[in-house]
Amino acid sequence: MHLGAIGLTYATNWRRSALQDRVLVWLQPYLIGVNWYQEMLPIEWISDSNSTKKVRVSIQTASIPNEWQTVLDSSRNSPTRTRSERFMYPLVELARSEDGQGITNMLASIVLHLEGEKTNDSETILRIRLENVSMAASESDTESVLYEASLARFPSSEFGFVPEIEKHRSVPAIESTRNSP
Amino acid sequence: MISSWDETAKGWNTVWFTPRAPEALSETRIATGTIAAVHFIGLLIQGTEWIGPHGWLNVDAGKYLIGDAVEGTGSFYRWSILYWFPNAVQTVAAIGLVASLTTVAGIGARLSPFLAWLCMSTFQHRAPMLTLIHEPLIVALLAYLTIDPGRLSWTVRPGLASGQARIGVNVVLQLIRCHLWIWIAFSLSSMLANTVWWNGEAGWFLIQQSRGWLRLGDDWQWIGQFLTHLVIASQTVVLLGMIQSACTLLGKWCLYLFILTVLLLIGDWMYASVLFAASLAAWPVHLSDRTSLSKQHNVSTQ
Repeated sequence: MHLGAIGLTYATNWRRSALQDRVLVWLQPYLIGVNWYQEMLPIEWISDSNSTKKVRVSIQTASIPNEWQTVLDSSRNSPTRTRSERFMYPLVELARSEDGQGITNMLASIVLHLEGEKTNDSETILRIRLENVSMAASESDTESVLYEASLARFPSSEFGFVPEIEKHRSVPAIESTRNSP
Repeated sequence: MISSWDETAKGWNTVWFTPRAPEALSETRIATGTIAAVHFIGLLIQGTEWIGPHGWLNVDAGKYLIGDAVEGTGSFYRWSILYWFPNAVQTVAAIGLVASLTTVAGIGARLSPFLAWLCMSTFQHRAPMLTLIHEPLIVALLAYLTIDPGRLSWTVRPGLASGQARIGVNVVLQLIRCHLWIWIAFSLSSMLANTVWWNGEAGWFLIQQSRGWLRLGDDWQWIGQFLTHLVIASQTVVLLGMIQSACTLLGKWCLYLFILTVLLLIGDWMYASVLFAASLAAWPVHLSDRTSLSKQHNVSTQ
């Protein structure tokens, strides 16, 4: 039974049938509770999926407003490269699926992380963007950008994101976030 | 018909419930504990940066990713205390490190691998999307060692004061073997679902991305193709070697080849180490000792 459940978990790593999904949900107390359940593991080392292509997160700060500074880059060789890739995967998927709430949560987490390290107000983040590095080298800049947003600051010290496309509306929609500094 | 069922049942009992000397698990326990210790040192240094109170993936983002409170996602069963105490990252890592080291030293019986498993699971439940390729295998090895950690000592070779054979030791060895088999079967089938593993491009892509230890110029593309085929072939033979006694030795060397390709192509030495640790359940380094243990057991039962 146990090994069968393990086999099912690994077999459904990326794709699954409705039947497999039902069985997995039924087995969740054991598989998740005892930590046997894993999903979206990059066990095949390489993939055709766009989400596993190299991506980076860049910001513009108050001190250098016209320059994009890379803060996270999954194409750069570093000891944390693999972990960065794993972190980027849901970020790219959320951007692609236009999940506003999801991308907002992730980006807010990144902003809070970066601003937690800042020493003065000039390091305040103004804009943030997610771009596809593999495309950036060969195609135009706008095509490589997966998501870009400006930060909207509120008096309560909370903040929200105004997606790039929303700037062209007369009343831009601000993605709210549950995070606050 | 009945006799064939009897034979099947006897075979099943022999495979799973033949008592084994506790020394048979020593290599696996020491290797697993060492790798887990290295893993926890990494978390001690970098864990807070990733999942601390102001980590790259804070609690709110983490909860969103696991589908918190969404039906069918199973988020209800994720129990990491790091959701409530994100400041405890280093404390949990430190406890895990101590538990891993005591697992290596053979102190604390089942408690040590259990604590190490608990701490590792705490991290994986907090951020399952950040789980790396080697982590499911380490956590599985620790869970199995909780059933029976084998002989509790630093030594690997069986000494004169050999412990009494236990069923639990054999159950753990077989569980690890089967788990590794399923893992490699899944790894192989995932690769074969991708064209680049058939046409030989995968190895070259990985070399070009400088992921592994191998750095080559464009003239050496054939080496990338060769390694691609080697990855597939070695895994196939490993699977065969684990179920066919005639291919056992070939399977062992193919596993080492596979581990070598892991280092050359993706440079993940933790994954390579965990594969090696898990393989010790099937192919112990001191194979002659295992044979002598088996003989010793047979003599004692006669």
